[in-house]
Amino acid sequence: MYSTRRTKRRGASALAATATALALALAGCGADSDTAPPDGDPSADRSLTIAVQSGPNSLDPAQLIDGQQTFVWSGVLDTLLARDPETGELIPNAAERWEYNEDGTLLTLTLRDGMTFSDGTPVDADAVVASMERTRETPGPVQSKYSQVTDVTAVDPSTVEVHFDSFDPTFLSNIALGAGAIGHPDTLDDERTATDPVGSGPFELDVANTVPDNTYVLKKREDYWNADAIPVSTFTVRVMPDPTAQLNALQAGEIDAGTVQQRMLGQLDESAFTLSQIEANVVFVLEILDRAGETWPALGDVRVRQALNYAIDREAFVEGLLGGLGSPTVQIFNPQGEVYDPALEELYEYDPERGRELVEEAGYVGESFEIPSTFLSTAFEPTISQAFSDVGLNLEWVSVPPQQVQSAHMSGDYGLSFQVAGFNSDPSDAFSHFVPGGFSNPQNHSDPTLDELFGVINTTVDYEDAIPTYREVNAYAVEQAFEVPIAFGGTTWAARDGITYSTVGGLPPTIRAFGFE
Amino acid sequence: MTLYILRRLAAGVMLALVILLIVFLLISSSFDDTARTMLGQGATPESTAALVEARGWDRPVIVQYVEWIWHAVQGDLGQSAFTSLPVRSAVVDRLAVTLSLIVPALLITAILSVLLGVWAASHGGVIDRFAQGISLVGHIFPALLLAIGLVVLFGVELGWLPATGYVRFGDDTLGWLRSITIPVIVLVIPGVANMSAQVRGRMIDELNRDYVRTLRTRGISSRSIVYKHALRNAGSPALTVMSLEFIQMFGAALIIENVFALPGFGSYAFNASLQGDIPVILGISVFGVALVTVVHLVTDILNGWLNPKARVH
Repeated sequence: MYSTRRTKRRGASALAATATALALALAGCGADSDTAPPDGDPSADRSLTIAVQSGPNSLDPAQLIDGQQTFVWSGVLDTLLARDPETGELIPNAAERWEYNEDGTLLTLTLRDGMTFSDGTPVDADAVVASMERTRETPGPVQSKYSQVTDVTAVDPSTVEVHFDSFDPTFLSNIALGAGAIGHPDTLDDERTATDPVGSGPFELDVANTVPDNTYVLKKREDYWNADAIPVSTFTVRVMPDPTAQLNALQAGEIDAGTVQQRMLGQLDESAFTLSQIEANVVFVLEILDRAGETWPALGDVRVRQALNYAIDREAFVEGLLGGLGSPTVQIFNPQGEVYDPALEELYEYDPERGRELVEEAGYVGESFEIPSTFLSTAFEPTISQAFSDVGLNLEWVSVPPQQVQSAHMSGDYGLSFQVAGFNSDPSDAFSHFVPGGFSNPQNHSDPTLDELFGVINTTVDYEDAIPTYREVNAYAVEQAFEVPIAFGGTTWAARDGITYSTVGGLPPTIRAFGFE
Repeated sequence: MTLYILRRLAAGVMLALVILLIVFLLISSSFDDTARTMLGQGATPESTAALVEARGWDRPVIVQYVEWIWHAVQGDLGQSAFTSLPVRSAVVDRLAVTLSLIVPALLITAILSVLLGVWAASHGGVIDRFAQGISLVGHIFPALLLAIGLVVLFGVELGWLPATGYVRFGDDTLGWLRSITIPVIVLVIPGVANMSAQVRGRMIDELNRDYVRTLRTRGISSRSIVYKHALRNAGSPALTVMSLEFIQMFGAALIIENVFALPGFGSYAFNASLQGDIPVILGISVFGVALVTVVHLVTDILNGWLNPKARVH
């Protein structure tokens, strides 16, 4: 991430930018931190108004969605862990310590002293247990994060034990997000929980001035345990799905910060805004769903998969369709994470002739594939179709209504799927993309090498020790071309002068990403 | 008349029941999709099936339909599948915002259209061509472009009016007026373009009729002929156009609400459709049918008042 007074990059396709923006709004994951308070008086009467593309569906801890929705819910609900916005590393939050047993089947969380809910009730182990148990049992987007949890117990007022049937390498990063949100045990099942929960986060929702799905006004809690790290007394989040509305609101001074599409940057007043670019928040990827070639044998042939990787002109994709905000890649891991390997980027340089040779060698020239056409893919379809054609393959886009996008992806009716995947943590991304049943592997492809590598990961409790194995997974997946990653996509934040925005890519921002000069 | 109104309202209820049944049948194939979307990327066939069962979406559609109607009759339209907000109050809140744009826009459209249409029809010549020119320009300019242009001019460059956002009437009347000014202008311009052309056409027809010639030979003033006789006869079809304009403005409101970041009915309906939020889609359908029924009913009653031949007994 870097900041610049002004960076002009034009020529982005409007549709591409819209799809990117939608994806960015939907994708990604969260971060909170122990960031140091800003210089001088941390908040006083300071207020901050920002715009996001989507508001929170719900503030119920069991129904939280990451991405830009995190801005609001992480203001009201504290999470057990957090991630450092500068490094992405896990850091303490409501839990000041955590420790696994030897085989990773027992996680002990030690809670911080002195935390309270907004009604003054102490945040203790019973509250955490009630929240976790409820989330585990309540159908919703967070429930699957508890799939390996068998029990959650309070040992004493400040100690929580989470029991697993087997080690879950993704769990710690999940409880830095919605899975770690703490709700008030006495009110969790009340109707108000969806819209105005009693939380232990840094803010309270100002219900009188909040209009659900349009404007959320958050008032700082001075009794929050980490109040010094919260730089404003009033934090207003306005929901503006239309990028033009965000730009107009920025220029009219109605909001202090918001994201701006590349193609619109030229319209901003040069002297009034500070631009911060996050180079990689998402990865544009053509996912190969039928990697075993059960329905589409061609996709089970590594030569065809590699041919597809040679077929895409990634540089042109970034310049032409992303307006230059992004970078070509053949990997799905966050370039600012621990698993990403720059050396792998040398594979699959644009070479359609080589791709065609591979397809011919495999004997699949003229093979056709169907792929869902969704709001995410529309802008990129001609480019991808051309790439298939260049190596002797055909692609047919089948229109899918927005509410059926996920169903189509998981249905088994398609061998390919275009996605704009937000980064989570490296472990979560590895599991999501390569483990049978992961979102990007819905047809349960398994591979002996991957099975062996994940076998190691699943028994290596210390993440530092597991990193080399994750890197092997990455290298092997790139070599085997299990997917066709195309490019990392970024975001540009524009903030009024004196306000800065800083976080590594892949972490959905919270109030603590903002600084004041 | 009372019986007529009751009959029309009963027909509206029947229409609502039929439309809701159709909506139910259409969305019944999407119950799994909605459940999957609710569960997010971690959805599995088992968790999806469990959620579908928990929501009762696995029961026969007709059973769900009857149950939903039963609750709706008691004022309970359920809760959004995604936000858990009560559908009835959410729709009413959203509808209030959209109506607070459309009603003033419609009134202004009606007044300007009548003035422009009558003026053009009764004067002809340059004035008529000017009115036709305005109508043409109003038709040509896309509402989205118009909205963005006005926001940039009045909201961003001049700073006279807010570029985005909505202020509730009860919170700050002047603020409300400022917040709806540009959206209303954006709705009025195409509305006037359409309706003034209709009024003009009908007025020209009326002014060429025999009874007008007779009135002229009797020395009745032109003003009286135009406003007391011709306009009254031309008003009936104009009213019908106005009712259609009202419905059309609901469609246009979706664009307006997005550009101005307003928490209105159009964007709410749009998002519910994208997500497949079943309870909200049903709630919106009910209110949509009710609104259309009432608008057409009021139009018919006003038509009867304007034109005794169209009066119902």
